[in-house]
Formats: sequence, structure tokens, C-alpha cells
Amino acid sequence: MNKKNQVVSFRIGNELFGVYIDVVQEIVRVPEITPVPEMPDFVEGVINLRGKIVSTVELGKKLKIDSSGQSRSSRILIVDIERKTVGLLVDAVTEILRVPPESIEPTPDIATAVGAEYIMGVGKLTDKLIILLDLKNILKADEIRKLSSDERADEPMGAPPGGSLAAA
Amino acid sequence: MDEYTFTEQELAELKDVFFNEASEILQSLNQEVLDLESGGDRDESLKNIQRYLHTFKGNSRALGFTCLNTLSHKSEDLLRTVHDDSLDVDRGLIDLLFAINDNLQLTVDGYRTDVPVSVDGRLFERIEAYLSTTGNNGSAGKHPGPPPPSVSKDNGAGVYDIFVAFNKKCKKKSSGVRKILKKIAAHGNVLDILPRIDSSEIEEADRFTILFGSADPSALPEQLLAIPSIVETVEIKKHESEATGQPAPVNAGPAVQREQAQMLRVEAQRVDKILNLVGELVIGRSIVGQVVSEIEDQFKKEGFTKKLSEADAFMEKTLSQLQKNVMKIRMLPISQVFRKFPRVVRDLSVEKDKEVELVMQGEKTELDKSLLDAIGEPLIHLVRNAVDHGIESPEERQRLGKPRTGTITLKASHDGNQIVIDVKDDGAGFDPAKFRESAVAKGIKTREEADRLSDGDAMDLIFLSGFSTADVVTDISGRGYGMDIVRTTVEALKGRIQVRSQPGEGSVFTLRLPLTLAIIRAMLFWAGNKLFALPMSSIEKITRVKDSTIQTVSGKRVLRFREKVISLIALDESLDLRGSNNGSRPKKFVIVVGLADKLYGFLVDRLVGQQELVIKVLDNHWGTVNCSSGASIQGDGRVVLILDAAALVTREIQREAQKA
Repeated sequence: MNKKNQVVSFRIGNELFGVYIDVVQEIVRVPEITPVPEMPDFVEGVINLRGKIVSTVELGKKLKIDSSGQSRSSRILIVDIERKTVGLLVDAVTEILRVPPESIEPTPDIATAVGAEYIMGVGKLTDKLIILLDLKNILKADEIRKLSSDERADEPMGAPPGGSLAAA
Repeated sequence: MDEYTFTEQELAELKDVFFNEASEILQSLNQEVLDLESGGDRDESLKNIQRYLHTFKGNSRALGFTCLNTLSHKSEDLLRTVHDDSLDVDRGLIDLLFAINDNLQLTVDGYRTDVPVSVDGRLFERIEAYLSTTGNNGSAGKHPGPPPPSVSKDNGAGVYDIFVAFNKKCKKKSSGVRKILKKIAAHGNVLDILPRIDSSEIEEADRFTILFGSADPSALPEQLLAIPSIVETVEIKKHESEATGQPAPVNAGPAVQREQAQMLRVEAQRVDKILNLVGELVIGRSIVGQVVSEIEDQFKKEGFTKKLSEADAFMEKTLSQLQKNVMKIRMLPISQVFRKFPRVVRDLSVEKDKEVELVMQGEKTELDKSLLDAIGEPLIHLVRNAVDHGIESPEERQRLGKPRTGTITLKASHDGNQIVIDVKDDGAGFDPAKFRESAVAKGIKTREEADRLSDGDAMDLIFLSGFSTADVVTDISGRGYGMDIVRTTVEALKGRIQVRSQPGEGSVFTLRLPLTLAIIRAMLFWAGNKLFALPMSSIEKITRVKDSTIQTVSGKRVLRFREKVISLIALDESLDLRGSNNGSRPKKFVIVVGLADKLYGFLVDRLVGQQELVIKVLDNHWGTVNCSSGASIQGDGRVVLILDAAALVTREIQREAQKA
């Protein structure tokens, strides 16, 4: 079987998603997640992946889909996005599917809450539809917005401590 | 001869090695020239300089860096003449040697960064001029060099390559070459021959090259060499590249060879990789350690429990030794940074007409390579400032009854887990009163605030950005230029900087830095229901507080601490910790941190204690995290954020400002 067409499928809420297997490093159970202040709110926190610290995105929040909440079936997909290692928290990993290129509709014409910028296409399988995600944009879109809104707040960083807090 | 051509990768590696060595050689060269100037052992210095140049020449020739090769070659001749003819070592020579050194370094940097550069042609003229004014031009042939038949001075207008292809009928090639050499001897100097005529290669070769120095190339017609029985073709070209594919033998001086035998050149990255792996091993061990202690609790009486804990203890001990030793590989003596300074001080004091003596102490003090690379800039800044603005002019000093020559002392020492570097001068010093005035003038402090500052605190104002740029405070003009940058750099290295001064007697800048950036000593504590760490280097003091001792000033919590009132920041609130629900619970401890001229207190729930933490990089994919630059993994696998005190305070100030 051609590895190129293999897709790891997973569930968030009631929707089925997939990412190509070559970006997935591994799938792990959910360890303790340490929240990190100042990270965007769709980032759940960081986990310890065998001594490496990996930030974990709550994918449902990012895609604006109601997740069924963390449970025993929750998993973290460790993926490689443009050489960055990121964890994706999903409700459940279902299976590895073969999605032949000819079964992929490039433009999604089905009703889904997910923004088109995250979708690479929709795979039409015999018994189900699977939304193929474009992970690059998942990191990027918000990154850009976040950075530009932070620019203003970053400015006073170099300023001397002082201002209203200065009581001494 | 077989021409061996390097693969691109091999060549790149060789070049890397060359660049690193070149910089080291040039630094040593620089030092020798300084020694020579300060009246050290003249012959010894000259010999060393010549040796460094020779090594440099060999190395650069092997890689085909023609510019470098030619200049170092020329300079070597210069040195030889000075040495052999016992010429005076005067200011002109010293300046020339520094210029050569700088030019070589510049050209090396050019090659390294692929920016095409060539050696300043005027430098050759200067060398020639120096030799001719001292009447020693043309000492050629005086010094028999190592490679046969003779290496003598190339004192002519240029260096040429003579490419000769042997006639296939030529049987005794070495004698053929000798004949050719005889013919050209009158027209210039043979610098080198490849392959050597005394080597066996010459008989196998179908061509050979003469490196020839000649004053007048027109006097050297190619026909002169056209001896039909020996020569097939002759070609004479202006010398471009002496790299013939075969690396020239590098004749390093004995001292250099000895050093190389004991040293192992390893890429820093490789050591870092090992250090990381050891760090992970330490984490792995502590996870095992925790399981072991659980087993100990449950199976106290079993025989294997004791064996297991012994094995675990042994492993822990060995691992910690391993970690220390790997860390040590990265430790380098601070002399690597210090040795730049004699030159900096010399050049600047000449420029500013000052007389300055530089004293260096504790040069063997070791610190982590990453720190070593980073502290050079701030230190240079401090040293330059000391020469430029600290030390008075010789006349002024005399008038004040001080010795004409000012002294700048650079001193490094260890203090526990920190390295302390003092930059001290016996110059004018600072007047805290002037600092107070300019702080008020600049609007940084109100008159009352300024008057309340202790002298020390007033002087630390120098580190505030925008405080003492030249355009504002002419009285202490320039002295503060870039001081905020110095502070920022030092703080980014988890260090602190302080200044103390007596007006008229001089000043001391004191830098305190951790020994390494890979492991820090940190205080672990709970805030909200999360565990955090703060580097001990940023902690001034930790104090226990009762609710009743915390007062409020216009709605903000403050604490009296050492005669001061300091602002308090409740960390759990400040960090918006999810799921923390203890806003009302009385806090137990205040961690006092010092930032520039101010103290702040972090309110936390519970202290865990000090620990050595191996710092892991915290991904900052979204670029939003300022309050923490790293994290560490605990024995139980839990991730602990290492907080950045300065960023937390800045963040809090911003929040307050937004609220207002």
C-alpha cells in the first residue's frame, strides 16, 4: 500500500478528521499537561514527551468544534509541522485509512463549522466522509494574527520598570 | 603525481578548521605584538610572531587562500629581517604588525563569509617602505629555509607561477629541474617547487611548478626555459592560487605542535548533544529513583530491595559525576575573552591620548562556552568606557596628584555557583548627586524620589535605558552610552550588574553570572495549584509573611522590606492560572526579586526548595510567551516552568497600565 495515501483518522466531537500519516510521529495517551501562561488559548499546555517538551494544541478549540471532553479515549497526535513538533489533542484516534487521491474533493461543499483555511480536502469513502486537515495553516493562521496583536504590547518591554506599580 | 581533489564537503570541513585556527593564531599573534611593544623578551616575541605567521602561511596556502598566503609570507620575511638584522622595534613596526594582523583577520572573515576581499595593497608598500628605510631591503638569500633548493625572500614586484610540462623523453627529471633553476636564478628568487626535487615524486611527475618571485617579469621570457630535451611546454602566470590540490606541509613551531597533541578539537554542537543526552539520562534516573523508593516502601523486607536501592544510589552518583564532567568540557577559561582587551585598551588609549595600564586577574577562571561567547561584547563596552570616560588625561591626573598612568583592572573569580567579573578603573568615578540631577531633569524620577535614592541606587540608574545618553546628560556624557544594552545582555544571561564608585577615586562595575546556562539553581514553589521555578540568581531574598503584614497602597499590595516599601505581585493571579481557586487563601511567602534599581515581591503559596534544574527549551511557536524561557522536567515526569522575573514584572506593569 502506498504510504502516501495513508491517513490517520481521528474524532473530535462528532466529526471525523484525518491527517496524512507522514506528518504524524507518534500517538500517545494524554499525560499531565502543564498550562503555560501567555500561550494562545487553543494551546492546552506542554507535555513531557520522553524528556522533550512539546506544546499541545487542543484541536477542537482551534477548529471551533465542541469536543466531547477529555476521556479515556483521548489521545495526543505528535505531529511535525514545518519542522516544529506539536501535539494535537483529539477525542479519539479511530484508524488508519487509505484515502486514494481520486476520492478527495478539493473544495468542501459539505456543511462543516471548520474554516476552509484548515481544510485540504474531503475524502469520500464508501461509508463516511473524512475531513483532511492542512496542518500548516493550523499553526500559521493564528500565529500571524497573534503576533500582530501582540506587537503593541511588546513595545514597553525594554522600558524601565516604573509606572503605577512603583511604590518605592 | 596524482592530483587529489577534495570533495566539496571535505573542503568545507577543512575550511572550518582553518577559520577557527586562523582566528586563534591571529589572537596569539596580537598578544605577542603587545608583549613586544610592552618590552617583553624581544627575540622571543619576534621568533613567536614569525612562527605564528609561518603556521598561518602554511595553513592558508594549503587551502588556496592566496591573499592570506602572500601577506603572511611577506610579513614573515619582514620579521625575519628585523630579527636577523637586529633592527629596532619602534612604534612604526608595532603599528605595521597590528595593521598586518588586522588585515589578515579581515581577510579571513571575508573568506569565511564569502565576501570577496583582498588584502590592502598599501600594506605591501608599507612593508617594503619599512624595509627600505631601515636599509635592509635585499637581504635575500641570507637565510637558508627548509625546503630545497632554497627559499629566499621574494622582494620583487610580484610572485609568479612557472608551469613546466616535462618532455616525455626526459629521463632524469630532477636534474632537468636543476638545470631550469640555474637558468632562472639570475632573474629572481625561487620560493618553492612542487613536487620537491629531492622527493621520489619528481621522477613520476609529468609536470612541475615553480613559485617564483621576480622584480621584473619581462626579463624572464618563456623561451629561456625552453630546453627541448627536458621541457615540453612552459607557461608563466601571475601567481593566483598556490593550492595545487596537494596540501602544503604545515611546519608549525614546536610549541604549537605540542599544544595540538594535547588538545582535541570538537564541535561545540557535539558536546551539546552529549550534554542533552546526559540531561535526559538524569531525568530518566530520577524517574527510576522514584519507583525505587516506592518499592522500598512496599517491599522493605525483601532482599532485592536493598540491592536495588544500592544500585540506584550508585547510578545516581555516577550520573551526577558524568554530568559534571560533560559540563566541564564546555567550560573554557575566561582568558579567551580577556586576551582581546590589551589591544582594545592600547588602541583606545593611543587614540584618546591617555596612559592606561591594564591589569588582568583570574584569567584561568572557567565558564561555560555559551556564556563566554556572550559576555565579550558587554565587557568590551565597559572597558572602552573606562578608558574613554573613566581614566582622566595624564595632565589632569598629575594635577590631581594621581599617577599619570591610569589603571584598569579586569578580575574574574568564582563565587559559589556564580562567576564574578569586576571591571575597575582608578579614574574620575561618578558623583551620585549628578545622577540624581539628571534623573530629575530627564523626568525619570521626581525630585523627592531622587533624593530618597541611596548613593548606590542612584548610580545604578546608569543602567536604565535612555538615562544617560550623551545628548541629555552632558556632564557624564557618553559614559552611560549603551549601558542599558550592557544590562539587558547581562540579564538575558541570567546575570546581574552593579556599579559602585567614589567620586575622584574611580569606579567598579561588577558582573555576576551563572557558570552555565544549561543547568541553573532554582527555587521551586507552588503558586495557585501549579509548581514553578525561579532562578536563584534573580532572587534577592525569600521571606515569610503573615496576611497582616501586607499593606495596601491605593489598592495595591505592598510590603515593608529593608526600610523600603516594595510592590507585591500575586503570581497565581498574574499568570491567570486556569483552575486556580485560591484567591482568598492567605499567601505564605514572598520571593523578593531585584530588577535594575527596584525590588519586587512575588506572593506564592508554598516553597518546595532549591534544586539544580536542567533547562529544556520551551517551544514558543506562537511567539507569545515572555514570562518563561525554559522548563525543566521533574523526577516524576512533571514539567515545571522556569519563570523569568524581569518579564513577569514588566508584564504586571503593563497590566496595571492597561487597567488605569
